[in-house]
Amino acid sequence: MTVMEEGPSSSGGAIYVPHESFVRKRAEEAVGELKEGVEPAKKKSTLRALRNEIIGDRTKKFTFVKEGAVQAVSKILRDALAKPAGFDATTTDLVIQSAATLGSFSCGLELGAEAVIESGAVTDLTQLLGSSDTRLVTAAARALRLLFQSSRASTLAPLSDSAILLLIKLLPLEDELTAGVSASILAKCCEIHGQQDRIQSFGGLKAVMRLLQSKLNKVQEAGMECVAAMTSENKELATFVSMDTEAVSTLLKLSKTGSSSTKLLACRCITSISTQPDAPEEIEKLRMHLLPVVIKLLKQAYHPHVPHVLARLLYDKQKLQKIAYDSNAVSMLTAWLLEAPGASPPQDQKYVKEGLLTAIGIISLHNEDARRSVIELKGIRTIVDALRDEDERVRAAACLCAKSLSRSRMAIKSSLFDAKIDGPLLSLLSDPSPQVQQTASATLCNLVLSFNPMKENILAAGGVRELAMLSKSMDSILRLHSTWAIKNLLCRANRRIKERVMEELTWPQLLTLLNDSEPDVQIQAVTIVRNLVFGKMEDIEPVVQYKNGEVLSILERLLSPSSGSSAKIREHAIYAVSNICSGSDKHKDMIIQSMILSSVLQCLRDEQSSELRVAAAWVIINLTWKDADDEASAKARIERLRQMGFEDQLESMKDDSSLDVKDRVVEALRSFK
Amino acid sequence: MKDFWSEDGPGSSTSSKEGFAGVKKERMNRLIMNFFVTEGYVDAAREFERESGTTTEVNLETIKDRMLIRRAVQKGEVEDAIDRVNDLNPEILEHDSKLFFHLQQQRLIELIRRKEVDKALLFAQEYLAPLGEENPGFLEELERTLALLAFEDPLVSPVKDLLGVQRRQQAASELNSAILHAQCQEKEPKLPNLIKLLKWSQNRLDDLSDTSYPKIENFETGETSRSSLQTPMVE
Repeated sequence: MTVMEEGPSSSGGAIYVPHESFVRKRAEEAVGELKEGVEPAKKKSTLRALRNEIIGDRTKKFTFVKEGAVQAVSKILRDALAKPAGFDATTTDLVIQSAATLGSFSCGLELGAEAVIESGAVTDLTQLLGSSDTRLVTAAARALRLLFQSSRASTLAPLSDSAILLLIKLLPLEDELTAGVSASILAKCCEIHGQQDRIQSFGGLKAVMRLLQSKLNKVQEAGMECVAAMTSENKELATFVSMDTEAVSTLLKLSKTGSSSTKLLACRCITSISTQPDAPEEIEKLRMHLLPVVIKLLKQAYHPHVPHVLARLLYDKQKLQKIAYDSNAVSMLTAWLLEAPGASPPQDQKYVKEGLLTAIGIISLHNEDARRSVIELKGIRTIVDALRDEDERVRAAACLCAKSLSRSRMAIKSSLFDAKIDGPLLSLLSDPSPQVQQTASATLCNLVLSFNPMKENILAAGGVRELAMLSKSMDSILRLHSTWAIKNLLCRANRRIKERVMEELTWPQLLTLLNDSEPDVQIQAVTIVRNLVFGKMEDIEPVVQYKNGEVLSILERLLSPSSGSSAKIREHAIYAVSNICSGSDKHKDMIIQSMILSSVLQCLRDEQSSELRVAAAWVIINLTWKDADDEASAKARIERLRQMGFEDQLESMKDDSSLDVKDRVVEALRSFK
Repeated sequence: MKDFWSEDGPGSSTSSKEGFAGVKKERMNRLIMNFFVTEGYVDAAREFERESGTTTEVNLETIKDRMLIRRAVQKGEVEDAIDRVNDLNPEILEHDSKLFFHLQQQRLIELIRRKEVDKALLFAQEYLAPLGEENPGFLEELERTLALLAFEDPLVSPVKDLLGVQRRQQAASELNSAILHAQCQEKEPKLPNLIKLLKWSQNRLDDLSDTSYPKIENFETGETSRSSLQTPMVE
């Protein structure tokens, strides 16, 4: 190999070292030349050469990071800044090149970003932002942006107030490109460290919004990036933006023109401001305007933010959900979900998955066709797998999606059952995130409602034990969902299932729930009783047997006029009583002899609730039912009822305003004849 | 010449001084300025600005750097161009891996052109191979470039196109576009496309109907086919 001469090349001027000399040089040697004691001119040429070596070349970055180049370069920067006097030309160049080099090391190589953060260069770079030399400011801002956009950005310490203030001061610069760089960094400060309110306290949002009016597209984009980050889930700042009509109309214009990345950024901003709770009507209307744009973006590019924007836009808006379904959004989202591993860079995949699952979940919440689409596109297995994802947010999104799908009986009986959703779903009942627990228990409510094999599976997998545990939770929503699920599990269940449920739930716990402080939980507990006593005499027996009729006396208390129970609770309690009355003579007589009967009479007289009157009429029908073999005891009950004034009461109800009531009353009166 | 560029007073271009298509002169001037700026004719742009009063958002100083960079690639001094573009904005080559590969490839081509075979091999191994490894899409081009070394006289080889002026030109304009993009300027001047569009429209018109219209026959002078209707575009 020929040996080449070292030194400046003829074409590049004194500062330039041709690559040939550099290739030969060991990285170690180069790093040595950056260290202390080397004359500045030499240091300068080596640093420039190093910069040119590593920019765009990950392999070279790796080699130099391993040789300790990052420490050496950040030392150069620190030493230069420590000098009290102003910079001479060489020092200025050294500072600019060290900033550029540190920026490049942060970009595309995790190890590099780590080394830069460890070297403590962030403090020096932020200090440079305050320089009077615009070249230094630009170099520092660019390096900081690369660092804040790096894969290790989440490990950065939050920027100090003074650094934030310096960044905000760059926003009105005449050099708009540097202003844009500053806006991008501020956006990251919001995303990573949640510093939006801090930025706003220095008047940052107003300054950022001015960038939206820039003629330079990159600057507009950086401005929108920052506006989107600042207004996301921040009502106060979102309102601040929505009050600025110029900003809103610029955003709207940008959402309809320009490149897809510009459109998406504008959509993110408008979504943030238009989905705030209690947004003004004209701002909320923008959601409708935006929907076609977002759907189109979904068709065009696999951009990680699109599913999230769509999900937020559709949240709580059935009409928009329907439009999204009609625009084929479900197929596009599901197709993307199935091929997600390849479509986005690794660090974005969790985020994309979360967005896709949430969007699918929201669109299919009220739409059976949408659920069917997901099944037909074979999305179920992937969704069920996502319930086991290591990422908490993906699990929550998958759970939301499963909840929507579980509203479809067809899905439960076929694909959800086949995909064995019960296993992962049950483990989510003990998920560390309460949000996930709540959604999982709500999903379970739907799953166990009507399909016996699913009930069996969930029982066998210890699902009721988990639910029983949750029914003791301090979180009233968890108590509600778990009792609800148990109630659904018991709905039309056979005796074996009922027995096993009660083994897990236990009678004392049922009594506790019947006395719960939350009326909604109480209702579910009463319905558990109602479902338990539905069916045959053998179903009724254990309920009335327990502690000599403890359950009955609770029902009695819930029905007494002094209890203050709501009409709903009383209705379910009356139906429970009615179910008991369909049992043996012994069961019927237990009711006849209890105080419940007078409450039933009260319910017949309740003018507010026709449901309550129907339920009460059912009690009478069951009590007066004549079995062919034992008419005598029925006659005795009828006599007792007549004495209590039931017949007269029923007679007075023959023209009840509710047709349901009328039919039941006529049927009940037949027994008295 | 001065007259040709000079700006009319306010409002004066609305009536008689319009071109036949009703294009305002300020607009024409802006198009011309756009051409100078994008193509990098700094001196012409400066002179035009002085004479016609047409302003540009673009800092003319940055054009100078851009032209030096472009010329460096055209002359085969790719390292020099890389150094300069990193001075201008280090993010350009950082984020555009395709452009970066093409520049490194051009460096290899220049080494081969200078018949520095050892250096070329070393360079390919140390600089280009890792890029190919990270992005397999580059491998084919890399192989084609290395094929230059296999021929005794690469200039008559099937891959001789790599050694042509065209190749340098391509790399130069790719880099030029990237710089323009980083500065938020248009990657191409508007004028050539407008002329293409005009030519296409005229052809379509000729295909579709026989109706006469002021067809531009000579694109250099702007002379139209129907002299009777011709109005001078500029006085």
